[in-house]
Amino acid sequence: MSPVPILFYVGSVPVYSHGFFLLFGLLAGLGWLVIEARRRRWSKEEVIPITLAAFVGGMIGARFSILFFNGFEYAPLVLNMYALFDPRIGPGSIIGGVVGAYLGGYIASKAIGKDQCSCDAFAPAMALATAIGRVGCFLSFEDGLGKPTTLPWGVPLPGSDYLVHPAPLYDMAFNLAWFCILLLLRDHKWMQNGNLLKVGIGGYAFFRFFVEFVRNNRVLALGLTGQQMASAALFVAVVVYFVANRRKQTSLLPAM
Amino acid sequence: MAQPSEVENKPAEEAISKPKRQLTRNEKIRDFLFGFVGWWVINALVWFAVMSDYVNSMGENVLLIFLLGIPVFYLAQLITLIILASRRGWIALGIVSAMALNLVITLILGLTFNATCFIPFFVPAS
Repeated sequence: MSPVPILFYVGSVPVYSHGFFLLFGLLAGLGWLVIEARRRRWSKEEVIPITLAAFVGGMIGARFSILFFNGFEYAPLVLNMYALFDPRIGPGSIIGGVVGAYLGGYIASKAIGKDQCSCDAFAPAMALATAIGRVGCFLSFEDGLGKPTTLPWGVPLPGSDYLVHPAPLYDMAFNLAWFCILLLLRDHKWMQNGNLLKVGIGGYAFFRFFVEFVRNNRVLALGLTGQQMASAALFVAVVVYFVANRRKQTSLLPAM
Repeated sequence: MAQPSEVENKPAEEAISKPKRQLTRNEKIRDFLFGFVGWWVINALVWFAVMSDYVNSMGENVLLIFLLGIPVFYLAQLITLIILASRRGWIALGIVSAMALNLVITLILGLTFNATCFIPFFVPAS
């Protein structure tokens, strides 16, 4: 198996797999968000500003997180807003994107004076977008795919005589499964008012912590990558939120 | 008689224009355009200033000041956006829309570049 960086040509212009599946994933996520928003009767006056803020926040967060994950030598690119609009530079990290999107959406929600959270519509959309986006990561052999392995599904890395973990495919498989689980959970009484989104983020953070062990990201300290530290922090934050709000959540439930 | 959807949407519309009184439709459009066009104009001016031959020919010290100013300007824009979001929601929406449009253009142009996420194309596995 060899990488497929160029998916197809439009005339003489190459269309790269990473950019294609990134855009396709975002569009699919947006499509699912629209479906969910309609289903939840979420008014467009709320969906549009929150989605725009989440999108911009996500892109900024994805880029900013690189400073932490990859090191301060990336500061000239990360801290330059105009580099955010440079198509030659990759978008950044999904973990940072998730945090940025959450913050952006949260600020927009507060700005429009929402007292209750309709943001659960984002949860399955995020999982679907990530699953599709990871196809591009796999086809472009981003990050050298993963660490060496002897497992039967290992992928040969061009220019080497060993197999590596197809880590983006693990991510894709998890997110597809997670998407289905979130769909099953979305109408549960406990999974309303922002809880589904928090569970969605917490679940991905939990998975990401472990999949990082077979990825090639930079180890920062204690044998952990920046992405692992961020994932652990996210997961703990979600757990603490649910523990701290356990009573409040129970009292908000409709009487049976 | 008001349509059901209008009744549902009204609180959100009132909230997005958070200031004390309800903005008229024209005022909302004016604020939105002010944010949208203003963002493009200000950033185009700054971008051209930084990229211009004139600034580049003024020596390393001036260039350094400009380059150091970019992160500060970036941060200032984000803080301004957050403040505007709570005070002049429609201006903030215009700014966010301008940024989102730019990002969409970037993503579309990104189809033709092999830009992976800040990581060299092949990292030799250890």
